[in-house]
Amino acid sequence: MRTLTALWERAFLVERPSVSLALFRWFVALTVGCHMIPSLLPLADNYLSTAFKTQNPSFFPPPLLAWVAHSPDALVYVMVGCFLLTWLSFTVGCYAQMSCILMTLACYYFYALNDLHIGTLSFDILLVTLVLMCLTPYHGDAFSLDALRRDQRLLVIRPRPLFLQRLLQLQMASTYFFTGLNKIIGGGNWLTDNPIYYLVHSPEGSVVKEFWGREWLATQPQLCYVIGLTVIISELALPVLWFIRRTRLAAILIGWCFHVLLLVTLHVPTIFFFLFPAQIALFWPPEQVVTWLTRRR
Amino acid sequence: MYLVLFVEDLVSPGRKRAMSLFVIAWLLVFHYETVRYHYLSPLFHRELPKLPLLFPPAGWIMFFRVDETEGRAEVYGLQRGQPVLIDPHNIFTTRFVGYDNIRRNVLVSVLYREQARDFCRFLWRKFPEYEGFLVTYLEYPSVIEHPHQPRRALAYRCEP
Repeated sequence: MRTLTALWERAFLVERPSVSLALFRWFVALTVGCHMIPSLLPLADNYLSTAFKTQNPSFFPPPLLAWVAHSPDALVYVMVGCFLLTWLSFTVGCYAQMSCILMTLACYYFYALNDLHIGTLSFDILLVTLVLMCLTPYHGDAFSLDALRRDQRLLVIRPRPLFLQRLLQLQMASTYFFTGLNKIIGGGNWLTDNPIYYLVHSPEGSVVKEFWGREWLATQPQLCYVIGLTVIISELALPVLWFIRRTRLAAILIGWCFHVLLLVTLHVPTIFFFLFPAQIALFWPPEQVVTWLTRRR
Repeated sequence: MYLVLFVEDLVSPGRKRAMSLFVIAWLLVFHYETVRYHYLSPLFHRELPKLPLLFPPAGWIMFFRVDETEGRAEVYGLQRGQPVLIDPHNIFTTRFVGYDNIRRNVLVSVLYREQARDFCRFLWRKFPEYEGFLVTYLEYPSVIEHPHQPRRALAYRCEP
């Protein structure tokens, strides 16, 4: 029992520097901004009464959707203002936790109003991360106006319970692991079929980019299958390797390379190039991040 | 001296208990939602309830099933009775950073019959120069066997 308590303490409750979360806040803000702001620009097309809207009843309770759908245009304008203000405030870390809560509520509002553009699996994943970020003010401890106001410096090393960073790590690990697992069981066809071969053959205008070597890859079905297997093995193995000290750095680098490959080959949402790589970096021990930052100073 | 080490605000045992309870609850719900749709519901032969407002409806399922078919929507404007293909980028003009949502098949959402009235209204506002619109489904039965022989089917027509 004592061992279990000690393990639990070490996994979630031990106090370690919150500086990684502060850096992560920037990437969350960047992702939210890149996801939301473009959809707010053609407001008449996306959110006003003139827009074409779709709703997501598997995510939102129908009464809430009905209530939001009756939003007058004036309320939409007010919510755009609220979102931009709280997003900016969250980015610079001014009342970081409150900004995060209000910004997240604004994200929920626009998602409920019209899920056509922003409503993808990626946005659901982003909301899980945002809800976790709303829980504590730890991400405002450093590199923020909150830090400047409280401590008159940007780099503040404040030990905080690790649970938030650990939950973000577990979210990342689960996302990878179950993405891999679903490819082979639970409806996936990556072992019985050759999805990458199909993807490189997809017609013009599809989700696959015209990357260098695509035409050659389209003539190599065996290689495509091997690449598919490598993807599955990586997705299943990386979540474990991130938690092991000796393999951590290599696993983080492999994770980043995987995301670079995704960017080069597919039209994947913003979360894949700003949020996930930063969330993978949360596996790096915060003490070493502190050492790295103080050396640079 | 750039560093300030705070030791005064150590976490009390009560707060630690609260954090532990939250972590346990979060992990339970998180993993339930992760496996609910693809593993638990088939196991119990019924659709288990989803926690509203959080977590993806079907778990983490990126590109988990890709087959050789491909489908997309096309919109034609009618000019003097002749259909003219409208560039989907002119229909939905939102431009995201680093990716093209049109190529992520966002237009396919308009194919549902229940969306027809709203989408037609949207098209009339955006393209008043046309006499009408045809919304079609373009299907590639096999991108390997017949990559250049897509099939088209009319989903619905927008008339004044």
